[in-house]
Amino acid sequence: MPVVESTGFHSSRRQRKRDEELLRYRLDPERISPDVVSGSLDEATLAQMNSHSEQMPDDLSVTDLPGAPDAASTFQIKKPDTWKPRIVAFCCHWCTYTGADLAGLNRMTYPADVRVLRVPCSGRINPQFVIEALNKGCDAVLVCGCHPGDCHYVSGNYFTRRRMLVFKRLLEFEGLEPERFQVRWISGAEAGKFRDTVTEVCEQIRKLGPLHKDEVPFVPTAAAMKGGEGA
Amino acid sequence: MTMEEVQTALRKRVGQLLEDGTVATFLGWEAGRFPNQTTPLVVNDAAAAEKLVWNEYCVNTLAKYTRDLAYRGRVGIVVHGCNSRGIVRLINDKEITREDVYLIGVGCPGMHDMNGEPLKKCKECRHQNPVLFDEFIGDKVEEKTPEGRWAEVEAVEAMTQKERAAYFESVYSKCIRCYACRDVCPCCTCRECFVDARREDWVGKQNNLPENRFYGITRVMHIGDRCIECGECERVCPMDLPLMTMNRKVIRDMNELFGEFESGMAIGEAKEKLMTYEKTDPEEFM
Repeated sequence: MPVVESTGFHSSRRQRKRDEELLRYRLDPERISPDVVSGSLDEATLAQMNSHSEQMPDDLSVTDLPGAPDAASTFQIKKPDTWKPRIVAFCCHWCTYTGADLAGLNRMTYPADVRVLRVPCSGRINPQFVIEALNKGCDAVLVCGCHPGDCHYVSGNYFTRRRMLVFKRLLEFEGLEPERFQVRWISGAEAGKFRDTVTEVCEQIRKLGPLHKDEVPFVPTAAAMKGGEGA
Repeated sequence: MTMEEVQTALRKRVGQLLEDGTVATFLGWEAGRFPNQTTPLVVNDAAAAEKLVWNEYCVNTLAKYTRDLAYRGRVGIVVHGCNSRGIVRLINDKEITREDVYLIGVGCPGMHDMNGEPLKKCKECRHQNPVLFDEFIGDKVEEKTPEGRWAEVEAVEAMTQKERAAYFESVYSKCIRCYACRDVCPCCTCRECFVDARREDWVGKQNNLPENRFYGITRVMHIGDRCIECGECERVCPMDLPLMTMNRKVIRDMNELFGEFESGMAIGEAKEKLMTYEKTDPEEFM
């Protein structure tokens, strides 16, 4: 079995457990194709795999089997040309979502990289939603609501405006690229603006590239523990 | 009056207050186990008032303990600048009422750590005299307003985006999520904090970079408009993280965008900046 190098900083039980978890994650056969870890699996598993391959016709590779993991998409680092951004757009039900609907009715086309999430009001959007989205693998977050003064609930988007002004500055202060978190006012009639905004944001994020360069869970390295003058 | 004289007067007065029943319990500091160190003390009877100390090593801000003691009756407390602003904050957040506390004001000359160095939070302090008190012992100190309230924020802002990302990555990878910054903060008073939710919820229990960042940013967003800049979070942080830099970033932005303010200065002060709005608020997006 390959051994995950200890960082030397946490030789605690918790750290060992974390190392084991990481190892299990790295060797998860659901996640990676078997040939990558051949030699590191126990004999019973290898024998089982071999017996499968004997029954297979010669022209069928392991990755063609139903349910077999696609090595290219899960293990190798994604190539920039095949990579597509994942963008979440929080849209207020009364304006932006309706605007997006109108864009669809008018057969406008825009990149399919954006996932629209409907919220009752832009005031519903907790800053935690945004951090959670970025943490869980999104490359950018778009927050959209009614123009100030047009809120269905009278004042929701005035609160959003204050909150997002401060929050956007804080995220940029902490090192996020400004393009990765954007706020726009889009009314129910502005289908064209919705299309233009989504297209623009997708273009910007394609240029920037993925936010998460590395899919392996974070384990503090010796350099990261020492790095920076935190105080 | 010197600090020793204030200490003598304080012990005498606390004894009287406990004897005549004005307060049920009293909060102050007692000498610690080591020289040049003190620890918070809850006095319940007049005889124990002799244990109270007032010297330049009273580093803990005690305001938040009143919330836990208020069930015993009226809580007496020694208030200097940051203690009194913490009390005002708790009253404005409706965590305690004005009647729950009896405040003995003292002027604060600035506190020192065990090595005799002035504390960072005291060097940055803008209000050394209490903003609220029932009686005052000793003399008020001369208020000094140090320069460079935003110096740390500006230093970080001067970095490039890549440098800032690396800087905060190192900050959050050091965080051990002990939640000491939350426990000590007089603004963090949720009965159930989002990080304590027992069911799977907003933030997990793992100690990793994304979740540490999730906690850190949420903490700042939750207290930004109420922070009294007492600097306790930074003092108690075992990993010496620049927590006040993050708090002050938000405070500075709010000052810039929505008008000057300082939190915890008076009971019933204007609403917190994120709890209200103006139709004429600035816009950086459209």
